Amino acid sequence: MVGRRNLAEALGGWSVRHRKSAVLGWLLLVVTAAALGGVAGQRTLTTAETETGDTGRAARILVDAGVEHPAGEMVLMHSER
Amino acid sequence: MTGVRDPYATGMVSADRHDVLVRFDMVGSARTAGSRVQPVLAAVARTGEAHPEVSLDEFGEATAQRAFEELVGRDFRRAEWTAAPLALGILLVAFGALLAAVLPVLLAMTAFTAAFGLMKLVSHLVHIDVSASSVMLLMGLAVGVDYCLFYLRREREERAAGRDQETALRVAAATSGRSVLVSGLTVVAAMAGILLSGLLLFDGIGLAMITVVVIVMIGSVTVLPALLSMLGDRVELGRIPLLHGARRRARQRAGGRFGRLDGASTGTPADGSTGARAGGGRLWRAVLARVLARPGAFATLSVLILLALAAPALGMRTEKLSVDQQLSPDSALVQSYHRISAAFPGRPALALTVVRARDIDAAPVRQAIASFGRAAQATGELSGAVSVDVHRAANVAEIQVPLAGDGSGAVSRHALHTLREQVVPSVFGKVPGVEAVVGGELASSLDFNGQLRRSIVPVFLFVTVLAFLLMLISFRSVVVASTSIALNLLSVGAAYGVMVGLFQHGWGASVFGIHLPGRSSPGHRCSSSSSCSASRWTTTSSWYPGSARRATAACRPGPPCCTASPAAPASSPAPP
Repeated sequence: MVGRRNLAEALGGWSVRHRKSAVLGWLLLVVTAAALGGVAGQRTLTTAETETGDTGRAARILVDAGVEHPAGEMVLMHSER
Repeated sequence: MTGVRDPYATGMVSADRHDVLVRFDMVGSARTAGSRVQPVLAAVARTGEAHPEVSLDEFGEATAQRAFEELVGRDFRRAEWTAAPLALGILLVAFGALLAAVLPVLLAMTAFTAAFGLMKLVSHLVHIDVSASSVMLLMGLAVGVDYCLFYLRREREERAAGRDQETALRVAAATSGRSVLVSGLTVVAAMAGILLSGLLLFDGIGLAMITVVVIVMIGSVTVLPALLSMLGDRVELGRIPLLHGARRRARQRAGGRFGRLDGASTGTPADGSTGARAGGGRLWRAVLARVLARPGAFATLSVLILLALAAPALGMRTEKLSVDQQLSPDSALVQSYHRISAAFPGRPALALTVVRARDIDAAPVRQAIASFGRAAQATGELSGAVSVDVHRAANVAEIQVPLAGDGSGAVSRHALHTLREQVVPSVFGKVPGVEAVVGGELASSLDFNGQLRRSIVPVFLFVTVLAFLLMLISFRSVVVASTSIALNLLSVGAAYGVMVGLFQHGWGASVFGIHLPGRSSPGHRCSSSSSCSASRWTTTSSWYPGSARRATAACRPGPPCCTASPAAPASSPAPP
């Protein structure tokens, strides 16, 4: 899989010979990826996307049609009298 | 908020006249309502304080959404704050030196940070659920610490055996480094199996996990050797006298052939390292000696034990859990939910039929919608009247059908089945240009389960075949590949079995302090979407330790290793 010349050995050897490049490169990768991700933000699943089958189809039709229901809330008022 | 319904006008007054239910809607998109509900909650709380003679309970989509977002955030922080120190503690015991223990955690955490950023970029192509970050953190930490530990231990061992720094690093790269690559690729291949599930939720989680494993793998074979080379023997800086001394003495005592055998046949770095500790080493050698004396008997015994553990998995049931089943029963929100259900029982389970047409106002469509209501009512499986909402501009109609039964039991399921398989096709099937599908809460749970059931065989086959091929190519031995696949399947089965026993039957639940979902009908509810993903996760992640174990066994030089794995000579250069 990794090849007969052993990729890991070659990579490890390069890193040992270029220690500073390897460490700085790693830090650069971490900082760049974190910064790009931070700027881009995460797109989370919509409710319709968590559904599948007919339920998913129904949700999708409503989304495509722009039919949106407001979030319903209820408050129970209880009195002992 | 908007559309406040006067309870006295809408009849939302309980039978004993002690309770009223005020219903209202949140302004704006339901998707973001959770983040905007705080002022409403505050207003309700203020009202409650101003009127001590009434008690108030709020529940709804927005409040539930808010509770979930808080829960996910809290879970993530908890995972972050417990997993890393825990890993650090284990590593301290394994290495007995502070710097050597900090290094793997540092690598894992930086890899996670990078992968988390990349995951956010990927989420613009495939939307990724918020829960993915927690799974990713744990996966990254587990894999990162393990790979690093593996590499570091090998390098330390070579140094201890008297090789110079350069040779030690080269050997570690050629053996442990190679195993890390093989293991990483196997994990990635297994994760790719999740993408076949046909559920977007799992696609996102799978991609997130693949990202973190790839990053960890790259870091382990590049930056780690560079750091080790920079640090040299200073990696043992910050020795903890007691642990370190014990380790050294144990190594000296174990010495020679037995020490090799120890490492070669247990394989996992974790086993090897704990085995090197004073008491653990002796215990492990005693166990190993007994097992090797009668291999056939012990193999049969352990297979039987694993099969017994796996047995409950046959009865695994999955379903999407409702809000009150997913949150802790002690939470204020669930208690509010139960008080509302107690005061106003019998909220029917709704099946939502969505009808889309080219012209929703056309006479045949209107007739079909009307006759759908009559036909549904005629089945005798409804618990109330059908209500229709027509959105003319969008050419869509929504039909709310209250199903008989409790919303999840056999009666409701049958009602839904009748609606889907008989009523809808017979009414809407004949009208051209009309599409009608049935959704709703129960339908959603059934659809999700159906998809899971359909995909389990392809996913399993894909993962098994691919892992087999990877092993075959890496170790060039059918025996090694098929043994490891068989062992992995057994452990996956056992893991499923234990999971079902714990979460579905509740065996030992009190010991672990777990609240079981659906306590009202004990023993028959299992697995929310999160447990489903947990089960998938088990499938895939359990491949990983297995593959690493094989890889380790094959990469340790020395005679015992050659008998343990025929592939060893091909993969280990065995320096003089």
